[in-house]
Amino acid sequence: MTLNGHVVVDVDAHFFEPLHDFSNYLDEPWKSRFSGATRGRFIPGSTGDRWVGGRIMRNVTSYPQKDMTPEEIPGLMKHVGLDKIVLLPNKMLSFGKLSSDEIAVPLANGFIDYMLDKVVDPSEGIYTMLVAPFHDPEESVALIDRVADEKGVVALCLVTAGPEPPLGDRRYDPIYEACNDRNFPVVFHAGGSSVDSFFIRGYRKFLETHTLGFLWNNMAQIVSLVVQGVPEKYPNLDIVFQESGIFWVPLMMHRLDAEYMKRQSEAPLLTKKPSKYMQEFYYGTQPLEEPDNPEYLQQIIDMIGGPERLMYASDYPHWDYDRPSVITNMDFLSDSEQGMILGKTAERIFGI
Amino acid sequence: MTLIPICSTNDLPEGSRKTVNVEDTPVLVLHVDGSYYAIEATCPHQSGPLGQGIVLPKLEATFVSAGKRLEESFSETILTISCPWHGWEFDLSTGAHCGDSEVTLSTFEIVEKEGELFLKSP
Repeated sequence: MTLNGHVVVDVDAHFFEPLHDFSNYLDEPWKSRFSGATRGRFIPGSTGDRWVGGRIMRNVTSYPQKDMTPEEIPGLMKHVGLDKIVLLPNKMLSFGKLSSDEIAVPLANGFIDYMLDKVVDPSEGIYTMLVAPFHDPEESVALIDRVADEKGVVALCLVTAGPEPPLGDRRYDPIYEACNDRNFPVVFHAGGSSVDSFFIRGYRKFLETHTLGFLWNNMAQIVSLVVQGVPEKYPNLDIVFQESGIFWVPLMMHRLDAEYMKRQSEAPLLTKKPSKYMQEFYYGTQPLEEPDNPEYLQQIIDMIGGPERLMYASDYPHWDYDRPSVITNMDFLSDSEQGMILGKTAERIFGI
Repeated sequence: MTLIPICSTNDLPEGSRKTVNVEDTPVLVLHVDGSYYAIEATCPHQSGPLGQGIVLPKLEATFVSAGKRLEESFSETILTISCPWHGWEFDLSTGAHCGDSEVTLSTFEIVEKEGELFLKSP
């Protein structure tokens, strides 16, 4: 397909998995519990009217009216203009809100088996990420050992909405160590489950909650990750943050730097300012901020470390998805830089 | 190189400090653990008085293994001084900020001659 001669890799799209189908990939007793359960009984749902009273629609997939089928994916890719796609099972975005860690491990195992069996097809450019049951680091490592070498599994995904303690805590070290040793990237992905109450209750419109909810997920986790020294402990780890746009990154870089310069002894493992580590991370672009003055966007990208830190993400078929044109519309980028963001960097980092 | 007289050793006993001017730049001279140090006395952050700051060994950490607490200890070789206004902390020997070596204060060598202390100015 390609766009302006560039391979387009979408590092963040979603598959709306039918629970009745997925439940066949669970061991008992979860299989029975799930197959007979009301939708959302075990996995918290998301709140708010994504569709603005019917104003936003998706014609290519059946979402949101019903779940998707694997057969819909090629049409989805063609519609958005993708050569390769990394699909996350949508319900896994609620992972941080699971009420019981007992369910996290079987769910994570079942979901990856389901995705590998029914959805993933590297020969067609269709990949997925392993969503880790971070509630149980030991089981997470076992799962990494089991599937990380699968060609269709390109990274580990940690959902940033909900984990407590936050994801820089040393209890998660074994997960990072396993990924570091395997050269298996870690993607931190914001999630919208219960976004209306994640930090503050009382907003009256989804516009208000969505402006902050996903963003705060990633802000909360990146602070922990950097200050606790995960990049120092595991220097080979490729770290990616997704689904908060990119303007938040310089904000956090400068806030963290200011704190660090005053309180360095509280982060004794760090050997440089937090912003320097953050300039070594990668960031999914969606939902990309689109200021009237493109120079603002250019400056933000410069502060983050340049276009080589960015990877195009659509988030399709979510309501605020981005098309690849958000990248090619950035006239201040060279053709080569646009190509990096559209696909080359993702191909390299994810080995696809 | 110029030798700038500071004071006699008797006037700077162990644990004491004083500020001298080197070409209009205030320089803090300290006598700590048997050694003399001289470092620019003004914090580059918001011009705080480094001379009023606490001197401590640098806190160091070692990552031992996954899931374990960091092993934290005070350095046996590196002393720091912190600006009392906002905590910016500098290596007394090199002048470098402990968290960002790109921020570095000038440091100077102190020479003792016949009971008198001199600051070596480049």
